[in-house]
Amino acid sequence: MKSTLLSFFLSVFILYGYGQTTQKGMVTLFNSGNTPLPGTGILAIGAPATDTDLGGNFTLTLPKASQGQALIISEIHKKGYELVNDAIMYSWILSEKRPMKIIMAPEGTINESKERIYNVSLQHETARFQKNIEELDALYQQNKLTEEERRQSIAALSRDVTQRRSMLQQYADVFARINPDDVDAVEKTVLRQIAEGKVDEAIETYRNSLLLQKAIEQLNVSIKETEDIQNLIPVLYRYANTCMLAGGDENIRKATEIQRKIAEENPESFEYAYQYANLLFQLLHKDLDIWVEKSLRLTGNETQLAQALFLKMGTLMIQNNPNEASTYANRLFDLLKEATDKFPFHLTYTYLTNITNLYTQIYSKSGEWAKAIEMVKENIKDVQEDTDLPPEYKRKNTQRLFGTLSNYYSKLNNYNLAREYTQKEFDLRRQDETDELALAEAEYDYYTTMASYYLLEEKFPQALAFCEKSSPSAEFLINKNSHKAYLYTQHCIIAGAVAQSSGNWELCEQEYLKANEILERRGEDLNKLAIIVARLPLSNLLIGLYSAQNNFEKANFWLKRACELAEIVEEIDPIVNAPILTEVFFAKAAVSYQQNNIKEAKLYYQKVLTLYEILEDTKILKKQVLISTLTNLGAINMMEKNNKEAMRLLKQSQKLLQKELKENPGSNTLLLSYANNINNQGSIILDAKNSADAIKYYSEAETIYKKLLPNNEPQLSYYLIDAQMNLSAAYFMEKNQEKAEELLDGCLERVTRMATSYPAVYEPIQAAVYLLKGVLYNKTNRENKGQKYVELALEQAKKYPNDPVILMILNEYKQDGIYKTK
Amino acid sequence: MVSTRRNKLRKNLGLILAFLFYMNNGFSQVEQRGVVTEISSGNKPIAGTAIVITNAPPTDSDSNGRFLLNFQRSFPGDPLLVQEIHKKGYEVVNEDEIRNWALSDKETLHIVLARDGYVDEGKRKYYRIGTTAYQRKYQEVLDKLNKERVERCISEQIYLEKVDSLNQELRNFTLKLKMYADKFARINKDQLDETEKKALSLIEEGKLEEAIQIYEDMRLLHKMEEHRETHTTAMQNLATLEQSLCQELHLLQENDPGGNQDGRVDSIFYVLTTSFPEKSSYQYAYIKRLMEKERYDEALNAYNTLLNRLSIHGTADEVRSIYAHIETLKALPALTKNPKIGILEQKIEDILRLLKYKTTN
Repeated sequence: MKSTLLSFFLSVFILYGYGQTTQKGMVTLFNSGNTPLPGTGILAIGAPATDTDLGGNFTLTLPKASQGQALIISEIHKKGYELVNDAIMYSWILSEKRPMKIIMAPEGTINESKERIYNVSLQHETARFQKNIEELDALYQQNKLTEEERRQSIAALSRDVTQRRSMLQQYADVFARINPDDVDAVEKTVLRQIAEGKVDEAIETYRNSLLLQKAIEQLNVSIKETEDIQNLIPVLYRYANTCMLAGGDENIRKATEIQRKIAEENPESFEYAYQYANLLFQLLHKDLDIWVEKSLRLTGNETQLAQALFLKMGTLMIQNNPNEASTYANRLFDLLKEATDKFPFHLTYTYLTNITNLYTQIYSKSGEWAKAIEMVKENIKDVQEDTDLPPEYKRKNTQRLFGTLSNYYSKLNNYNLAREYTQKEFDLRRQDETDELALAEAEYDYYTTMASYYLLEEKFPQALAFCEKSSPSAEFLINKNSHKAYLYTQHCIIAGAVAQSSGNWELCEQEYLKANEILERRGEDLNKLAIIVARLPLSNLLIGLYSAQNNFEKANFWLKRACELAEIVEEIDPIVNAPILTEVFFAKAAVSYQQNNIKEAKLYYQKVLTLYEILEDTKILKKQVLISTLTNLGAINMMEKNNKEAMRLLKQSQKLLQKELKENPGSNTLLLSYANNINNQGSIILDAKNSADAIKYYSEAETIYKKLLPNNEPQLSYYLIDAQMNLSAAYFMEKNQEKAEELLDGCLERVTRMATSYPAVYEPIQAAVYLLKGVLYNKTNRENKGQKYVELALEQAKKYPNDPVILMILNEYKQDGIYKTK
Repeated sequence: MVSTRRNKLRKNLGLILAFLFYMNNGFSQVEQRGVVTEISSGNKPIAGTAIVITNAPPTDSDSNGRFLLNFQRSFPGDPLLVQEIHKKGYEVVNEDEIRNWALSDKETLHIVLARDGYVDEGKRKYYRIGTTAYQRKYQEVLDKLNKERVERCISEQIYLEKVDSLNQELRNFTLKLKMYADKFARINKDQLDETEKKALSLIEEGKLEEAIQIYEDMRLLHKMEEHRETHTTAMQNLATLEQSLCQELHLLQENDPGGNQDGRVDSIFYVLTTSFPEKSSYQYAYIKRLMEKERYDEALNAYNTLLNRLSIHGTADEVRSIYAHIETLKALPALTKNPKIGILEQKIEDILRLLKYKTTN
């Protein structure tokens, strides 16, 4: 089949070849970069007259001719033009493969060129003649040449010049007709001349060929076009940015396309490759790696290299490759260290801060704070031993590194060393700051950092002492510069937190409200965003405070404000503000729960978990909120009898707690969370009628609560009573009625005592204890007494119809869920 | 660290030399002109801006906002290293542009300042514009989800998941948005033409899609491609001429001992070295010629151009090989006191360091 087809084509071709032939060709303008010349008439013997089309092309059809025959052209004509390569008219052999190239020039061009070439060459020759004469004269004057020799030499030179002149006339026409567009023609001429040993003529040919002028012209075109592109690029970037501002898949795609084109059209530019890589970084685009590498390759100086290394570092971090990222961080760090003179101070500072942040991220992931500390210490040593560094840079750097070191030690819960380095940092900073205001700020930073370390360590008296020390500088700052008001509120907030942790709710409320008042009063002077960001944690603290007191009205008031603020913050920068947001969501969930809106509580707890998932890798979120969220969500699931899920959540949070406790064994807050957790777990186990195990869990929780009680009796009594009531139920199931009764009596005594001071919190629990007591009597055949307590309980419960504890316990009562047996 | 110390010593020595030379000959390497104006003010000049740049004496902008930086130890094309640009109550707007500036005798460095808070305010404005646009898109999806939830097309669990992922998208987007808001806040309207001014005012009205349409109608990508095509054609034409130019150069250099054709030789070298910067052989040949003709200053400039190219595309070996050249130059009586030698030596060390940090291992 195939061969048949081939032979068919062949036969057609052969027939065609014998029957008639065509000659294609093109007419272009002389020295124009091969610009086509349309409308040129071509008359050839044996072919109909033809005109060139818009592309300068023509086809001559010769019905009676065949390939290999000579073509005779009688006329090539276009008004105002003359034929340049006239030899073509007489010497063309017909070919279907080889197009005819006809060159036309505006009339007079050849003559003009001829004259010019002749004149230039003549001048050149004359100059050479003159120079030779001068040389001869010089020799003659130095008596190295006789009169006769001189005369003969001049005669020979003149002959030579005359000969060359006649030759020049001959060549001028040839030169004039060399089309600069046709490099080959020039080269052929030159080669011929060199072969004939006429080097000077070869040089002349080049000179007359206009090749250099043409090259310069083309170079100028390329430079101009590059400039035009450069001018378009800022506009293109603004176009791309507008697309990004509008958002949406289609626009983002457009922006990516624009930036890709810019980078691709200018493959030598670091800047454009880097910009594009940055965009890809934000979009987590699949081409990210390629372009990061490209920009790294194109760097031509230290500033660019630092930018590229930094981007590479970030890319590896988001790709979850901290080890590789740290090698680039090290490279950047060494570069900054070695090329100090190439980086202005502020730039070095920014990069170093970022590298430190990166290391914080890397090490927090693996918990290798000790490694981080080692690295920082090495840096300090390097900085201190380097005699080349300017002293200011040295001091500032050391000071910054001390601060970092302090921060790392606090992560290791080594607060002693953390404080030591904060002290050192402050000592250096104090020397450096000459300005009164800056000094006050340094002092303020120092005192509050110290206070917060003591707070974390739960050493409240010391924390309070530092808080008080920070008061004057805070006052000073706020009076000197109202923009510093937020610093003062920070001071109040820490003082409040200290008070809250030690159970002094009144002082706590006072401090928080003071902070709030400052924000209200100074609000106009402050940046709006700063107020919001300062107010939000404050609202959170107040919510926490009031809900611990079961003062839901006030808690709700602050919650409403917090939610409004949270919405604004979420819009502005959800990631940076994530720590506050999680707390607002957590508070919202807790209050919803207290108000029995379980669905909403679950929704907000879920929101908290989502934020933790997003920011899993960063250390910016406190684990505390996550732990409490898991515990509370577990409790909700437990209430909904979703025991399996509840247990999973509780176990997850227990694991986290154990890890945190290991690092920080002295933390009462963590211990409290732990007790809450196992208390809840006990209840799930009891629900499965495994009373022996439940007793173990409850007892451990009870022990912890008892231990913590002196720190914050108003809050902790609540938990202790809960654990003891649970324990009582477990003992009852174990048929140990005496122990059950004994525990319950203890609860009653405690709850009654607490209810006198904090009725809002403890009266509902008191009702619960009454009810438990009634049921216990009823189930142990003492119905008279039992009924009395039940009535007492129901009476008390009426006062708090929406209290979750009451609702829960009444529900249990109705379903006969209290004091169950196996 | 040791090497830094050595560099520094050499550098100081170089400085002293440069200073002496300056005293004698009014010697200066690069004179960078610049102007400071206020953003979107109709090019209002700002006087009294302190400008501190590495390797140049500190200066202030004059009453026309103009300033002049004298770089004794730099070549054109070297990066500008800003230590400080300061004017009380103002902040620098075009930091990126300044950071990427290459020193030049011809181009004017434009520093744009804005009053403190101007950029922040702009950022918030454009951020709001961006979020409003995105919020609309977000709301549409949310409404759809809510509807589905009410009609019980999707379970509560799926609803929550979808809302969560939607929120996450919104968060990611707003995170990006911050950066773009910043870029818009830094646009100097004085540098925009009428069409772009129109586009920007549409953006300010929140009509983003209309602004995009304006840019679309400018057919910028198309224009860029056209320019690139013309450029490519020119470069192709140059490539076809390259061989002949080399031939002619060869002929001229071998047969012109009298130096009658020097101008032409220079022109050819100019074309070859500028058109084909990737071919360092042209640059070397040019340097060789300049040295033969004892045009030392031009030769040193050509070395600098060569080194700039090598800092991006070269290998350490190539760069190191230049050391040998410099040693030869130093031995020449005419060059022993030329400060450019020291600068070039420093530059080689810098590039070697750069290449070390650029490549892995």
